[in-house]
Amino acid sequence: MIGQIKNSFVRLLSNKLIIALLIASLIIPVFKMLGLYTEYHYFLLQGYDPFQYSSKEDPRDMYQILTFMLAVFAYLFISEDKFEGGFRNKITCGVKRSTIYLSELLVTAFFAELYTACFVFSWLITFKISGRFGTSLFYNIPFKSYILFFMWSFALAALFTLVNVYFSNRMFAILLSLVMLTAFNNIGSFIEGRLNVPYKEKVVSEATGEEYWRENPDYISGKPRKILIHIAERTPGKGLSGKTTDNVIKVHTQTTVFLFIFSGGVGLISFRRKDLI
Amino acid sequence: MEYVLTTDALGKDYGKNHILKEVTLQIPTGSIFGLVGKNGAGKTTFIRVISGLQAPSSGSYTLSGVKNTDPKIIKVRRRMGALVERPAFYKNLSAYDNLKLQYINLGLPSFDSIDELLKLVGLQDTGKKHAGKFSLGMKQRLGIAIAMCGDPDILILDEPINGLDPQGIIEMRELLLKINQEKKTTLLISSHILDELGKLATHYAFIDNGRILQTLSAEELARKTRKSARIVVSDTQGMCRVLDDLGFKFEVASDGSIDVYEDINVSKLVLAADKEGIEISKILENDETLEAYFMNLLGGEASR
Repeated sequence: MIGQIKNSFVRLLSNKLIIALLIASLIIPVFKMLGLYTEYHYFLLQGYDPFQYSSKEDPRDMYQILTFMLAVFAYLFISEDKFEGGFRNKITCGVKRSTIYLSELLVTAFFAELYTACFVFSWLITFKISGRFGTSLFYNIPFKSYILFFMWSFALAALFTLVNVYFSNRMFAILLSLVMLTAFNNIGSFIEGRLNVPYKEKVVSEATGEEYWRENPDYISGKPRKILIHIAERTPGKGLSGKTTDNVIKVHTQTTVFLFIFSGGVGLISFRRKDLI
Repeated sequence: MEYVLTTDALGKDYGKNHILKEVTLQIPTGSIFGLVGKNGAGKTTFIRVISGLQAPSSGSYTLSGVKNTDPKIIKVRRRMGALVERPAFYKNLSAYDNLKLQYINLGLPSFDSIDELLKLVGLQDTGKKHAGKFSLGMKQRLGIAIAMCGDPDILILDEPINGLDPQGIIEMRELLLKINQEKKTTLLISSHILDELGKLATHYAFIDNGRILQTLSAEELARKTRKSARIVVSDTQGMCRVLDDLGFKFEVASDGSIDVYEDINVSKLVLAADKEGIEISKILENDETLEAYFMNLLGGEASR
């Protein structure tokens, strides 16, 4: 296992794209600040109060950009091994398939956490050095919220590893990762939209023309409602956008650990049985 | 005879397609074993199965005395090198670094022998040049060097001369002979370029449609493809005396026909036969190449 992890680090450190992604995770918050600073001066020159009109940036929104970068990282890292024959060289010389899969998973998870740490560190530094300007244009989220970033990076690393190792078509693997990510980021809002449908709706009677209240057929009740609430609470979109209470941390710890173990287990079993070309 | 690899009714199915059908082979230690077959015959699938990339659907194989179902097979694989279809390496790394990674895969404690391996395959002067920028021949040699890491007992090469230019083919042939003779490594080479394989192999297996048609040694094949002339005569015994007198090597093929394994001077032969009152009605030249032999074998199989 240690040999396999060492092997991954040797080749990762020689891959310029992966290093570029690491640098990007550091400079994204800086670029965002420069963008806001430009906007701020634009409003100032136009004679408006920039603090009133400029957009306000939330690191939780920007985390979504980072998750896309994680998907690209997993694709670059695993597809290099898979399509350039790394897996073949390892298997034919007697490296266990489970060792190969676990090392891919651990290295992807390690880099996902590293990218997240770089992003958070860069964000906090940017926030700190931008002084009054920063406090007015950036949301200062509680430190607990950053823990969710790390949790979700961990779970996403396992999902991306599974998708990239399992599917034989390169394009399909990256597209599925991105589609999955978009779904993960948006499903919470979608479910919430469905749950927010009011119980009663006002309708106009065709016969009398009078308005009256009736039960909304689109209202979701009973067990389906409970299931949807359960799912929504566990999506990254919902977890990151709401208030980070201790309960949110607990629920998301359970969810991300489950996702990591489940997708890791599925990947491990399927890779042991997979026919490689 | 000792065998490094044996297979017993090995089969591989992709869904309902039977790609390998009861393949039974024995690969002698120290040999250069040529697996001959046209594209799609099942050569690559056979190699994928024995190199552990795919599991057999039926049957079994034994590598250095260890059956594929035995957990010890993982350890035995460390004594095997394989180049399946195309050379496997990381494009953005140098030849040295690629070998270093394979040494790590094998758990070898020292990288000291990498330079020697690079020299063996003629890549000692590539320095830090990325493998992705190598020529096709260099890539192929790097693939072989990676497969050679850890001095394997058996080297499995799938179409190693595919796409190489004539110079590259000669270099590859010399390299493979060197590996076999100097390192005493058994080679299993699959190819559809038969003439080239004919210059290397000590044993052959002919495969078509997932089935082994025939296995034989190079000597047996040479006997079967020996240059000869078949003469059809009126008196077989009399003609044998004439051929003896002329000092020719020959075999009686059937009553009325004799195979002569020499270059014959037709007028001299006809005159000598005429003196004995023997009539030669036909002389048929048989100069069968490995390719022709294989095609005949396929033809025979198809007509069955």
